[in-house]
Parts: sequence; C-alpha cells; structure tokens
Amino acid sequence: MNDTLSVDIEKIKSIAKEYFLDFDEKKDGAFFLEEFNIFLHQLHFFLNDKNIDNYKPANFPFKIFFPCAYLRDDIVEDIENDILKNTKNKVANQIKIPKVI
Amino acid sequence: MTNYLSLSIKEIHELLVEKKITPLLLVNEAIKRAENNDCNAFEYIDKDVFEIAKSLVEPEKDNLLWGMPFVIKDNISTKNVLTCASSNILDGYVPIFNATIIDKLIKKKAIPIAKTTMDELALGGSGTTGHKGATLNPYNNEHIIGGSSCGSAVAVSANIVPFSLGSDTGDSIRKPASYAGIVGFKPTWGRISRFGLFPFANSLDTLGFFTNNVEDCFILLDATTGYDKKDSTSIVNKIYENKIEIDNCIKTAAVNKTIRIAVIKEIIDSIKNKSIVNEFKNILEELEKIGINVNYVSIEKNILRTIFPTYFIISCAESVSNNANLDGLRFGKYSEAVTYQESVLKAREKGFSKYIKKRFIFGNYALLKENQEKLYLRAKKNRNRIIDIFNNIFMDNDIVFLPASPDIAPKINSIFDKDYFVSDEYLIADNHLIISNFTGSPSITIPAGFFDKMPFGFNLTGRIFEDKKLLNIAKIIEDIIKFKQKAKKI
Repeated sequence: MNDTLSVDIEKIKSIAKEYFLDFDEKKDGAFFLEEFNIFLHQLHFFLNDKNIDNYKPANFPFKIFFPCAYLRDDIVEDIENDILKNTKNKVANQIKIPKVI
Repeated sequence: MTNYLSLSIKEIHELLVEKKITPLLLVNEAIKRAENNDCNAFEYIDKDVFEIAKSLVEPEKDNLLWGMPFVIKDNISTKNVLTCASSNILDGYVPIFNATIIDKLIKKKAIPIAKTTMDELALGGSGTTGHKGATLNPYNNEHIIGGSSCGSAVAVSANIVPFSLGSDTGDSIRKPASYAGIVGFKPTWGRISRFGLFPFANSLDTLGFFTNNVEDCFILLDATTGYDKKDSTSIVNKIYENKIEIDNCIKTAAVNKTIRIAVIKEIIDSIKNKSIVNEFKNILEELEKIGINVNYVSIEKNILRTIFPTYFIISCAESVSNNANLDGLRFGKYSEAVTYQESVLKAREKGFSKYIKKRFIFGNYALLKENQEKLYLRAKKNRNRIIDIFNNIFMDNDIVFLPASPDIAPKINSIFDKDYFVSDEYLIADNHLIISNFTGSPSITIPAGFFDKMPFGFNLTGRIFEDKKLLNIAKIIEDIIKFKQKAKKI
C-alpha cells in the first residue's frame, strides 16, 4: 500500500477541522482511525490497477444533451410568508440572524 | 378486516371505483398501522391528511393512484411538513416547497401519510444510523432492514401502505427491498426529477419506489417521470423509451428467445450462502425452459473489487460539497459562539453523528490537493471503465440478472471482523448493485425466497431508458418465482 496514504489521528483531526467538523478524540478517535484504515486497505486493487489510467474521468453516468445540464434563470415568486414561517426569530417581515462578522 | 393495504395498486383501485372501500378507510387503517408499528420506521405521521381523504368522494376511474396512501423517505422535501433526513442538524426544518415527485403524486390524488426514517442524510446502508436509532426488519426485529431507505421499506413490507418513495445512490432502495421481501425499483438516472431531493451524490442519486409487485412500478413510473426544468439533469428521453406495455408482456417461448440474460460468474462465485445461489440457479433453469437465453459473462475479480472504493470516493466527495450548507447559519440549528467559525463547528459537531462525520472526512481526504489525482480523479476514471464494461455486456444481452445480496439481512448486533470488509463477499457480492448507479441504468430487486425464515431478493438491471422492458422481464421472473406462495408457507 502507498505510504503517502497512511493516516494518524492528528491527520484525521486536521482534515475534519478543514470541513468544520470536530469529534471527541477519547470517545471516537479509535473509531475514526479503524474505519480509515479499513478504507485504505480496500483501496489496494483500486490503487494498483494501471489500466484505470487509460480512461477519461466520467462526471455523469452517460452523455447528456441540451436542454439537460444547464443553469436555468430564477423564477420570481412571492413566498415571503412561507420563508418567514421557518424561523422563530423575526422582526416585521425580516428574519433576524446572529451577527457573524 | 380485509388486509386491503397488502393488495396491489390496481386491486385497491378497483375496490375504490366499486366504492367497496374509501380513501378515508385506507388512510385510517394506514395511520393506525403506522402508529402501532414497532420497527422505528417513521419520523413523522401526518394526521392532517384525514381531511384530504374525506374530500375524495367520487373515484376517478382512469386514475390508478386516486385515494392511494403512501409514505415518503425523509430526504424528500414536503411543503409544511417536517423533513430532517433523520439528522439532528435539520431538526425542526420545514421545507417551503414540495419536491416535484410529491407534486406529481398529489396531483394524482395519492395521499402522503408519513415521512419515514432513513440512514442519516442517506449516507448509509444499514438502516441503523438515523438520529432515532435502528430501523428494524418486520420479518424479525433482531435483524436490520438495510438502508438508507429503511423506513420506506418497512412501510410496504409491513403492509402499512401499498407503495413508498425512496432514493438510491448505491443500492439504497434495492438492497433493503431484498432484506424486506418486497420490490424495489430504481429507474434510469434523470428520468424522475430530483428537484426537492436532498442531494447526497448528484451523479448517482435516483428517486424510486418500493411496492408489493412489479406491475405497480409501471403505474408509478408513468406518474412520476418526465422532464423537469427545475432539475438541471432531468433527461428528455422520449426518443429512447421502449413502448412495450405490460399487457403485451412477452409470453410465448418463441418470442422469449429474443430475451438475453447475462449472469456475471465472478459475482455468483463470491456468494457464500449456497441456498441463495441454488435458488438463483433454479430460476435460471426455469427461464431457459421457457426459451430465454442465459449467458454467463465474466468480469475480472480485480476490477469488481474496485467498485466499492470507487463508489465510496465519488459519493463521499460529492456529499462533502452538497452538505457544506448545513452549518447552523444557512440551514440547521444555530449554536451560540463568539466567532462564526466556532458557531459552525459547534453546530456541526452536535448535528452530525460519527458515521456521517466519517464519510465527510473521507470525502475531504479524497479532495485534498495531494490526493485528488490518485483518488478522486482516478475514481471517476474507474467509473468510466466500469460503464464501458457494462455497456459491452449490454451489446449482447438485454438484462443483467444476479442475487441482490449475498445473504439475508444481518442481525442488528452482528460484528464483522476487519478481514470481512476486504473480502470478496463484501467488496463484490455485497456491493455489485452500485454498478447501475455508475451507469445510470434502471435496476429492480424482486423478492425471490426465504432462508432461515428471512427473505432475499434477486436483481435485474437493464439498458438506460429501457425501464419498461426491464419491468416486463422482471414481471416474467416474478411470475416464475411465485414469492407470495412461498411467503404463505413461512
């Protein structure tokens, strides 16, 4: 197995933190390490099969054509009341959010 | 009382049209069963639907879904109804719109009565990782029912409703169907609009159904497919569809000779449960007797062993992007903190289980600059290779036919040692259903038999956009298997 793909708990924590994730190392550290190591073992045939390099990456299951895979224009609708139903914190017709700057 | 909810959609419809039963009677019974169900299958039961059921008085003869109760996997948006994808991070979230599939079924006057449990955010395959805990198998509560569409599988298996909605990214309809002794159908990718489905991995996600029989899948396919401009990968496919309807189902031996079924040898060889293999081979013999061609084809085991890691890399990487907005600010419960970074960290630390965090960490790992080439891009290349291999099989065959799972549903407290997860039984036999997520092919699991009084199923996969041809052939095999007769003996 390729050594650059080995991990330790510090590496797992740093990857997690980049994605704004955290975990209790004492409680779950062993779980993450074991799961990661199983995954790296499962990669054995995947990493060592040179024939894979003969292919281009597939982004979709098959080739798709217009009008598929395009970004449509927004459709303007009056849904103010529906949006406001979803929050407990509102002032007049606006959602009150915490200051995050 | 007659068990109307175990009947097919067509049979229930006939009783409704003859006014022998009413939508209110069906909804009453369905909700009662849902409330008394001990499998932990429901996130939310909607009792407001009684008024809807009461308002349906004059049956619509040509509308097979009129008055039909159904349930919805909780990653599908339902307007004004709690939807949390079995995750604490979305506790209390109420969508302000319906998913397109829901709008289509409501337009047909089908009645949604509940949202069902699932593996958290659909990132799971056991039915045990939702925030309410494990969903149990109605055949035997000591066993799982699989996932991620666990609750929807229970709802049909336990005769609570005649059909339910699920989603399938890596077998999440078709594996639970096998464990639950019911039909689980995943149409061609892009045929059913995914607008309103919480995305897991967009290039793999497909909405689909659980039913008691294959014929019901025709009805649901017709009701829910179609181009939707709100889904940017909704496919316009009129030119591709095979027009054979179920009434013209291929029956004669002479015509059957045109059906060619492929069986992948190495997948069969990876299954240790010989009862399942023997039952499968018995069905193959029956198919040959009626003139269907059965061809054993070969795919190198080393290639088959790469299916699961390829899927795991692609799905975890896509899920990382799709779930980045669950931060307690844009979506999810806000957590008080001094800085926004701490607030997001706290919200996600509390909101996600360790099983979800694991997948996100794997996804992020595959997307690290130093790993993108050797993991993420390589996985997409391997996906293309597998698509190519399967397309070659479909040059000479109409269907790929295989056992859906290598064994019956495991017990809840099963412990597998580390070696199991790198065995052929796990990598090949337990994960081959992923192939049709890579290829976007239509794929259906039908119930096949029992082992130790627990059901198992067989799976058929067809060419893209030949969904109805697939269903036709599935119906032939369903008629040969006679699962309902086997079930009566258990």
